[in-house]
Amino acid sequence: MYRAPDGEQYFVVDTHVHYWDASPENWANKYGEGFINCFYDYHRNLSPEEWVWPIEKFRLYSEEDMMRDLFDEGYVDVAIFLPTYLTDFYRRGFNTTERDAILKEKHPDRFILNTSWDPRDGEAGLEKLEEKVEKWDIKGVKLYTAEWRGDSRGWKLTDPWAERYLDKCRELGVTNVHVHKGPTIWPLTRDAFDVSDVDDAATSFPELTFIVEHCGVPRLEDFCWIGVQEPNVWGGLAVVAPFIHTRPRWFGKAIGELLYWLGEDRITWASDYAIWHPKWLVEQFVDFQIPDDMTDEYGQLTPSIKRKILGLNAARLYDIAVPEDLREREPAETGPEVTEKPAVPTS
Amino acid sequence: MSGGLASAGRAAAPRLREADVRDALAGVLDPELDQSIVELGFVQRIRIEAAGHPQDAAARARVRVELRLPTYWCAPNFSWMMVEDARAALLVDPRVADVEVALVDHHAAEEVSTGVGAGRAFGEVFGAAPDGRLGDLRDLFRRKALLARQERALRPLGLPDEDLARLHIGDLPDTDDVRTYLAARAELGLDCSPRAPALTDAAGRPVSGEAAAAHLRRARLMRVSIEGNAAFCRGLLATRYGEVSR
Repeated sequence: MYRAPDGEQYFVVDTHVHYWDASPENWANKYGEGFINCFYDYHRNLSPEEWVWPIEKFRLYSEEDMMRDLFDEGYVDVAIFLPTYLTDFYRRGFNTTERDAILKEKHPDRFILNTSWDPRDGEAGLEKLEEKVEKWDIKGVKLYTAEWRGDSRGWKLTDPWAERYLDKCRELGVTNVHVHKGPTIWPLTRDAFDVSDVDDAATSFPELTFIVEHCGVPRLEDFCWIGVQEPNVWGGLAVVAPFIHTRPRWFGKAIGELLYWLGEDRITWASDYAIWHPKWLVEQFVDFQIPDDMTDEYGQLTPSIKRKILGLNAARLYDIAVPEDLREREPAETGPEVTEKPAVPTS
Repeated sequence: MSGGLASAGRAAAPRLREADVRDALAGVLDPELDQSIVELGFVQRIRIEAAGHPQDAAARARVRVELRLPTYWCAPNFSWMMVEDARAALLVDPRVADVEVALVDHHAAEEVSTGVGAGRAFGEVFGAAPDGRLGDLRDLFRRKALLARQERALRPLGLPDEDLARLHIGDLPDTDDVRTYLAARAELGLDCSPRAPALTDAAGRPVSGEAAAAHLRRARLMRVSIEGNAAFCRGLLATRYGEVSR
């Protein structure tokens, strides 16, 4: 929970966190090093200077670091694990369901544990999915469609086997499908960031919610266009959120576009921890206003909208109990604010 | 700098210099960001050597260019296009005998550099289906960029959306953004004559007054998306190479 200087309170659900191990002894090859270095550049590039970690800590942070950063310092009420296996790069995997489960089991009220699947695992993968869902009462999965395996150059949500897995998700009540469309390392003649398969899957599986991570960035335009047509497509703000510090004007445009195309009820907030620390992200987001010269185009970010994005939307998606005093008050404040807004730096 | 270049020559055409190479490369765009690879800081090193005997005034040049990208993982398909375009941009100069464009610090550096150098198709190197060429992808991104450029050129005119739909190319003021927009139209083979409608969709079909607002909303979204990607890539490149982001 975050209480802003003006007294407004916000329930915070961080919908995209990792508990990774990218230590050198876990690297399977040069890609293990290359992968974490790339994450580290994201971290260094968009974090305020005082929040930049040494590379050694960034590769492997402790359970204590994570608990303190998210819950003691970072205002997070509940955090959602999105596993990224990368077993081709890391001997024991990068951020697996099994590793995340260590923290989930110790702090069951703090974490929501998701898992992952790959349609190319066929029948055996379906069984494994069922086991994991049963063992940890899982409600969501993280999918990475651009992953290369053997002769396969990735897959689509519309592939027959992917449809079987989605059908299994529906059957098991795993209703939250987080789709990663971010940077890929795999060579493709088509655009690897292409989000169009989400469109078809969302139509075929109206019972499932498809949360497109990073709001499809670098294909924000394609994502928004799908989002406007498919009510069960949401956007996750991981990677978009930290632009607020170095590129506040662009962040204002991006959030303005998302509010226009998707509306305020289908956007979730995330730090992508440990790439970024939630403390500064939460503080800056709550403090943020659409710059004055852009409000004609994009309107205002009211406390009510911020409350939904920071936590209430995700709470709805995952049935998270929100303390009564932190729920949305009726009627929602939708009118323009009349208070004077703080100056937003232009860069 | 290469020693060969310093030698005196009585050549009719001036010897190729680094600035010539840079000028040629300035026309090569990052397809996703719609900006010049020179402006983006992707050109890391240029080396020019005489292909023949240094004393031979007619000797043509052998050029080696190193391209660096914002991340180790930048998509090989788009990386391929930039390396291919850089090579083509240099080969049109009659003073150039041979070009090597090397992608550096990239997970597929070797495959891309040698593949393009050998004139192979993307699919031959990476085994990707269906036709192995990147033409469709290239076209898709040129058309996305077209919409972003159009919005950037027309929005500052300050006219209501439906009035923009009535404008013709000949009505547009001579601004940098308009010239950039028209260059993209020309490159795609769209009508650039003064009587052609200024507001068109990505295929060059006119947009009606009724549809103008929705069209411009999408074009704006396109522009915002490209702007964000460019900002992120510039920042990552600066971080990666320890430079100040512009």
